[in-house]
Amino acid sequence: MSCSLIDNVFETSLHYSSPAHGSWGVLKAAQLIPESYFLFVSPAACGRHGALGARMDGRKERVSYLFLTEQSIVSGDYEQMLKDALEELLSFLKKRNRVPRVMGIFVSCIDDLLGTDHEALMAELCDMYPGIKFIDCHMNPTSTDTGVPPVVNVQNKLYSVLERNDDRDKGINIIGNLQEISKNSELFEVLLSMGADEIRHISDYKSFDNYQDMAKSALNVVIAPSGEYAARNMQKKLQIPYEKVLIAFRPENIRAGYEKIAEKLGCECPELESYESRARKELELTRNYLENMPIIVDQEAITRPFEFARCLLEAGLNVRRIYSQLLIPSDKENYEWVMENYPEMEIRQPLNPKVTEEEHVSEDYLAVGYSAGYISGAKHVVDIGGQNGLFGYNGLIELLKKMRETKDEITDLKKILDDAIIIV
Amino acid sequence: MVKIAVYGKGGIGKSTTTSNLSAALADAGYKVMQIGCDPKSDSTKCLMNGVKIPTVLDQIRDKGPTGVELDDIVFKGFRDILCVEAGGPTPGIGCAGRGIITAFDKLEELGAYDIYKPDIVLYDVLGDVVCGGFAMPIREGYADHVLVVTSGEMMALYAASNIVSAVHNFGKRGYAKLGGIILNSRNVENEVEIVEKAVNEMGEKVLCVIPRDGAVQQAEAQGKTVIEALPDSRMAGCYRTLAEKVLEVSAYELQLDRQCV
Repeated sequence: MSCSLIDNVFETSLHYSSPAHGSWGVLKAAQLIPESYFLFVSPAACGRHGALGARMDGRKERVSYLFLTEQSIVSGDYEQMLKDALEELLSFLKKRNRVPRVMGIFVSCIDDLLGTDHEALMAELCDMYPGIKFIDCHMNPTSTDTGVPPVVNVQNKLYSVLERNDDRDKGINIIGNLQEISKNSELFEVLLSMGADEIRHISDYKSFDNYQDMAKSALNVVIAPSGEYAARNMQKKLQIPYEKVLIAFRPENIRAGYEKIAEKLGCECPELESYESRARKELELTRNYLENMPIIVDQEAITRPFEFARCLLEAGLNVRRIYSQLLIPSDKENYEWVMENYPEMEIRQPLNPKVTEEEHVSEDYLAVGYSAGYISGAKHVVDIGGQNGLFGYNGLIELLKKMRETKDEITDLKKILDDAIIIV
Repeated sequence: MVKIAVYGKGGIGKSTTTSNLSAALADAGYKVMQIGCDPKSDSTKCLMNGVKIPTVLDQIRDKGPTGVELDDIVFKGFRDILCVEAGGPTPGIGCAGRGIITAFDKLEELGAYDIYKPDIVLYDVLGDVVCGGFAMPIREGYADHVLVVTSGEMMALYAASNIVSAVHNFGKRGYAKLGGIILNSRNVENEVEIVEKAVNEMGEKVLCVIPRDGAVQQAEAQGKTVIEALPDSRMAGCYRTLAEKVLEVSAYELQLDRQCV
C-alpha cells in the first residue's frame, strides 16, 4: 500500500516529542478536583512538565514537590520521608488557611518498583489528618500500554473522592472529557428535554462539598474512552449506571449517541432534525468555502480522527492526511472505511521519529490540531488541542467555523502554542 | 475464601510443602488455587505432572499487557487445583519484586478470584520479605495468614525470624497474620527442640512437623506430589495432618464463606 510513510502503519517506535505535543498532563487533570492539593514525589527531572505547566497556567499554588534520592529508594525510609514532608507541608498550608480537602500524592514509575502499599498508606494518612482525603495518583508512563494507562487512571482518581449518596436526583454527569463542553452545545437542551434536571461536569465545581453533587446523579455519560474505567468503578461504588456516547462528528453518529442516552433513560429521543439539518448545511458551506483545500486531521486534537475524517470525506471535503499515533478500537470501523474508500490517504504517527524525515507540505494545507500543523508545516492551523469542549452538532458546527476562519489567515503557530501552554 | 502465603528460606522445601498441602486440601474436597511467586516458576510443577506451565509474565511478554486472558495463565492440575506461576525476569536482570506486583495486578484485573471462586488460595513465595514486591502477598486483600517453612538449620531459622518480624511489623496495617511455623525436617540433631525454642522466642508456635522421608523425592521424580503418587504412605498422612492444621487456622474465613453461601 503506497498510502503510508510507514510500512506498518501503527508500529511501535522510538518517540519523537514534537514542540506542539502535550497539553493536559496528569497533574493538570488531577487538579480538577476542587479544593485539592498535590505532593509530587519523584526524581527532580520527572516533575518538570507538571511544574512548568502549573506555573504557566496559574496552578502552582496547589502543588509541591518532594524529590526522591538514591538513599530514600534503597533504605526503605521512603514512606517516612513522605510522612515528614506532608507534616511540614500541611503545617505550612494550615498557617495560610489553605488546608486542602483532598491531598493527592503523585508518584512516578520509581514507586512502581518500590511496591508501596498505597491503600494502607492512604488509610494511615487519613487517620493522621482527619478531614482530608488522601489519594494516590500515578505518573507512570511505563503503564502506557497496560489496561490502565496514566490518563485513564487519573480520571478514575478524579471521581474516587465522591462518596455514595442514595438521595438521587435526575442529574446527568458528563465524564471522560477534562475540558468542559461548550455551553453552546445542544447537549444541554437535549438532555434537559429528556428529563435531566442538571448536567454536571467536574469543572463546574469550585468547592469540594458541592462537587459531591455528582454522586447524586442518575447517569454518567462517558464521552471519551479514557473515562470508561472511572465509569465502571463509579457504577460499583456509587451505583451510578453509565452509557458510553463517544464524541462524534458524523451527524448520524451524533444522532445515534442521543438515541442511546434516551433509551438508557427510558424516554423518547427529542426531535433532532433541526440540529442535524443545520450541521449538514454547515458541512456543505465549509466544503464550498475551503475550495478543495487539503486537510490534515490530528489525533491529539480529535480523539477519533478517522471518524472525523470520514465525516468530512462523506461531505466532499478533501482530507489528505491523518496523524494518528494508534488506532483505538472505537475508531477501527472508520479507519477501515477510510482505507477502503480513500486508499491514497496518508497515515502518519505523530510520535514516530520518521515524521521528521518528511518534507513540509508545499501547497496550502489546513491542519486541524497543533502537532499536525507543526509536523506538516501547514500554513493554516486550526487552534484546537484536546477537542476544546466540542460535542454534538454544535461541536461540529463550531469546528467547521474555525476551519473556515483559519483558511483566510497564515497561522502564527508559535503564538497559539504559547497561548495553549504546551509544555514539551 | 481463605488466602495463605507460604514463606521461608530458599531451598527449604516451600514448593514441595505447598504443593502437597494443596493436593491434600483438594483431596479433602476443597477448591484450591496455588500461585507460585518465584521467578524459577516451578512451584506447581508437581501438581502438573512435572510440566512447567507458562507464567503470567511470559504471557504478558508474548501477548502484550492487554492481550492476556485467564485461560492463558490459570491451568488445572491434580484434582483440578488451579495452578498459576507469576514468573519473573531473566536471571540477573530486571526486578523480581516488580514481577510479582505485575502478576498480581493482572490476576486482579482479570477477576481471577471472582471467576474461579477457590476456597483456598496458597501463595508460594520466594525466600524472604526483601522488598515491596515480595511483601505483596501478605498485604490486606491478599493473604489472610502467613505460614513460614523452616528447618533446624541456623540460616533457615534466621530467615524465618526475619519474616516473622516483618509480619508482626505490618500487623497494624491489617496485613496477614502469622498462621504458624512449619518445621520441614532436615535431620539436624535435636531439630524439634531447636526450632521450638527459636519459635517460642519469636512469640509463635510450631504448627506442624514434617519428617524427612524418601517418599518426597520418589514422588517428585515422577513429577507428582506424595499425595498423588503415594497416597497411602506415611508422608501423605503427614501432609494430610498439615492440611487439617491449616484448616483449623483458616476456620474463621472458611466459616464466613459458608455463611455467605
